Amino acid sequence: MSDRRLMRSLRTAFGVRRSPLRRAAGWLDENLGGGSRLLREELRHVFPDSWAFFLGEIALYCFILLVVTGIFLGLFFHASQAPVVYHGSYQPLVGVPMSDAYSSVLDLSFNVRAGLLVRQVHHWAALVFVAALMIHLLRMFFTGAYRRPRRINWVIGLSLLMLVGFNGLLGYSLPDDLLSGAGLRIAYSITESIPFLGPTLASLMFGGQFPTSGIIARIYPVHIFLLPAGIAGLLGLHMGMLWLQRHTEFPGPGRDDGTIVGTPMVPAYALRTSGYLMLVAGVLTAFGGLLQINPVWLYGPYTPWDATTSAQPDWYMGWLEGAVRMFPGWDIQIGGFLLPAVFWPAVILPGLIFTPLFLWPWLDGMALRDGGFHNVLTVPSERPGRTAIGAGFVTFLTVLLVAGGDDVLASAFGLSLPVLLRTLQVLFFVAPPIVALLTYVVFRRRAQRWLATGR
Amino acid sequence: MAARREGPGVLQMSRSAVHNGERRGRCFCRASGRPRLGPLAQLCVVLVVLFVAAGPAGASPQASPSAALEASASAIPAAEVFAENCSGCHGTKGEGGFGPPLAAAGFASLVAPMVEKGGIQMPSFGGQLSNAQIQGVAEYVAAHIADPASHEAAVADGGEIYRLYCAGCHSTTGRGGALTRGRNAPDIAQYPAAEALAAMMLGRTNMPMFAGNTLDVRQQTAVGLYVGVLVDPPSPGGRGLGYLGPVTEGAVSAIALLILIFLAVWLAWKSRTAAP
Amino acid sequence: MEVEDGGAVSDRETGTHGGSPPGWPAAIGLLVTVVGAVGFVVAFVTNASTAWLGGSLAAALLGLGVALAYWGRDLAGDEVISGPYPAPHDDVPGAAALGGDLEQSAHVITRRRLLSRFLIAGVGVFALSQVVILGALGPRPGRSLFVTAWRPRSRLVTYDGQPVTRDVLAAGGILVAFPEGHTDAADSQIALFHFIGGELKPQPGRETWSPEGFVAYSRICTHVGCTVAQYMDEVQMLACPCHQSTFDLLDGARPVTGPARRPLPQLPLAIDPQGYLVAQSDFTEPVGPGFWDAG
Repeated sequence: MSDRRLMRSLRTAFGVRRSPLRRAAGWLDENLGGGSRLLREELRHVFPDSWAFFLGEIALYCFILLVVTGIFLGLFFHASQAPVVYHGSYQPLVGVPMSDAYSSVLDLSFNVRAGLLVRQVHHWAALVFVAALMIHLLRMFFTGAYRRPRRINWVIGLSLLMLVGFNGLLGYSLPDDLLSGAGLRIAYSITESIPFLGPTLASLMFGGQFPTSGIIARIYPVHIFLLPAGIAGLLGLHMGMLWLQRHTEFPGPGRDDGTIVGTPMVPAYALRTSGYLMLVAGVLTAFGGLLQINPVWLYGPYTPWDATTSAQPDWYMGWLEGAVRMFPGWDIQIGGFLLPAVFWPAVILPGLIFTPLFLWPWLDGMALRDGGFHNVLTVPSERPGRTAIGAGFVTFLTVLLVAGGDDVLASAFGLSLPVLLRTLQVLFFVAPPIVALLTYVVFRRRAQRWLATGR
Repeated sequence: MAARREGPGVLQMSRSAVHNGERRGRCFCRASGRPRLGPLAQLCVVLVVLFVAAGPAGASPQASPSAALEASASAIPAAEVFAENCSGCHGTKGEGGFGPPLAAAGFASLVAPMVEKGGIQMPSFGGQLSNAQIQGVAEYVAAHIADPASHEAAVADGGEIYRLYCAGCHSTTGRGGALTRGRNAPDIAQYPAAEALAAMMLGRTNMPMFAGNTLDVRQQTAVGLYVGVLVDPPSPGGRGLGYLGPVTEGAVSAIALLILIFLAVWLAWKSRTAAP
Repeated sequence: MEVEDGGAVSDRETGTHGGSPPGWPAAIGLLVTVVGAVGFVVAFVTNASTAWLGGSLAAALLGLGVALAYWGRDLAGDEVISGPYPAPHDDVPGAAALGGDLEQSAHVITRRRLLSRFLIAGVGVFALSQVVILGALGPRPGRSLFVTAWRPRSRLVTYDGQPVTRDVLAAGGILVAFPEGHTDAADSQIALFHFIGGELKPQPGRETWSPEGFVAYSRICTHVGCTVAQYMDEVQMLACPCHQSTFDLLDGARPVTGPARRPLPQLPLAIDPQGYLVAQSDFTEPVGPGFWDAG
């Protein structure tokens, strides 16, 4: 209290009538034609409280961090495959011919102050970004947050996941190192495998037959502008809808589909979420400073006659890699034409995975005969069927992910690779239904107990 | 006051109360007035451990013996050390015998760690010879026993050849990898770099002979020099995480996510009974 | 409590009935922030390692984060408010009015049915026509996927341009080779082997392709195009590090395990009178992974 009296006296002494914030509110009223009432209401915007609601924020703050670090990187990166001979400070590559892009990444890593830190923070943030998006999506799924009126937001969110994953693939391909260059070759071959249009499509995407001298320059504007703009736009829509519709809430006292209970935006929630932004940035900066990631100087520049083992894409593409490894060479001859086997795991399977995901809110509504408005979430025990399907789906993706790193696992743990591969191929079919069934049984029992005893 | 009391100890205000400028919701007390220490302290501990464990410089100590030796260390000249200890396997002029020829051993930095630690088939002499003797015989071998062509080897050339012929089995970081039919190409970073020279010369189970076939002496030495880099690779970015590539990096990013989820749990933690 | 000009109440300084939570965790956080920020400046100016740069910056961010988060969590009080969710059909007359207005505005166009159809057709045709711009992105593949840089009598050279003679590769080794003058031709790379014990199985129609036991195969995997670089000497197999397709070198490089289906294309070899290894012609099938027209 005494602070206020003191400030009041000081302000009067200096001839200032109102506090800065009050003056700002007055300015708004004078210059922006109103909106005071709206703004006042929105300052009290209600945010339900749960740790599970922070998962989307992890993703959002990773995105902000990626943009900030990305701007720094963009000031140094040369998106050109013009051949140069390296004469920088990393001795084992001095005199080696490489692309300008790769050389600029070496310079960034070894000669630009904080360059390696920013590069590593950028890469760690990308890995955590996709992980957070997936966890966020699973939270939506397992609590039924995708139901009306949030079905469109679910679709927007899934689109964001796809754009982010693809942008990450493009991003780690920019340094033009051996590991990511091999990945580009695989992407080219997968595109080629599409019937009829494949070779033409691949040639259009890459600007000719692999390897082309313009692919890095082509990826660059897509990675730094086109996709981030798309992501930012969709993100704006996503959060705008979230704002207008209000966030869902877990069931509890005083909470129902018509009433939202939580913390006001200002001051508590705003403080907490700004704090969380700093915490996300801090953790990722710690990782970027202390844990090395993507040491491209050890991989060497991409040359099409080099190869490395333990070659994987970044983890969020691991499921696709695993599918390609597990699927047998079942090429199909159709008259004088060939449908290569890789078309099925690399082109058709992603479609089979994402299509039901996109349609899920409508499938769920039809299955439960419930297309109504829901603002209160359903905890996993309330819907054992949905939880079981989700668990089976996660198991399915996990088997694919593990298969993507099968050679590393085999050599690291001394397993026989053919045996491991065969085991994973069997698990591909057997594990998801078993896990789904077990989950169903467990959660159904919990649901029954919950219904009987009231929690 | 338009406050209503609903549920166990939760005061609520309707939004209309805000417009009337009435007193905003006052909340019930925390069970104890003291803040929670546990999660915060735990987080600090985690971060401090991460920071300290990584080490400020991120550099590892050199593996090869130091070059600073006492001048009067050993009265036995290096040639005699060689004749007594090395020529039995490697031949009196390093032409080979039971052990491989030493034509490619043109750098003391390649020879000394091998002599000190030994390799797969070569015994270690670190116990029998002093550091000065080891360094001396290494320089002797490099200068007088090895083929002069090996002195022209450059580590960058070695890298190019390594990525062309070796990385396919041993990986660009030298950590090895799975082959088919249940075999593995070994982690070559666990041996002194000269072991790679021996392997190139002799071939191993599934490894073909590169010496004399695919690579000449200068190229072999260059590969040996590059393998020396891989044995102790520079990691200016921090801990190397095993140098196994995106698989371990993905697993570690899961740890970052778990830390952030832990922080979210702390952030949303409430001492009062509210719905989860 | 005080009432200031404006009439609104703002008194949140005591968050609880019993006195406000201590602010020292937030204070410590801010102290760490200051130390970290200063440390970052020092680390930057002295060109310290990435670990010091990252550690100090992380400390600054985490300190600030803890302070703000703690402030929001504990010092801002346990304020709980409630409000209404936006409900469907909140404003049915309004929506009906909007629908009516939209229809009325669109009527200007829709009442001229023929012209409307022309409009749709025109816009549609225009939009579709722009797709052709994608054709500027790259050339049509044409024959490029069927042809490499190998020509009749192209000499084999190593990666650094040395021509390959018969004594370069004794038995049991591997050599990566290119056509002379084209050591940058990615699609032309081959792996050369030398089998002298007669263990090479003759492939029908290819009896003349492996003179004196020298045999050459394309190094581009027929699965998804990685470089087949793993030569397993004991079993005479060449395997691909990407997805572990394994090719039997003694039997026309046909795949024995792994996801590849087609054998590695073989380059027909000859030894010219000067003793150099040369190609008889280009590959007789497309190298690399399969595609629609590869048939």
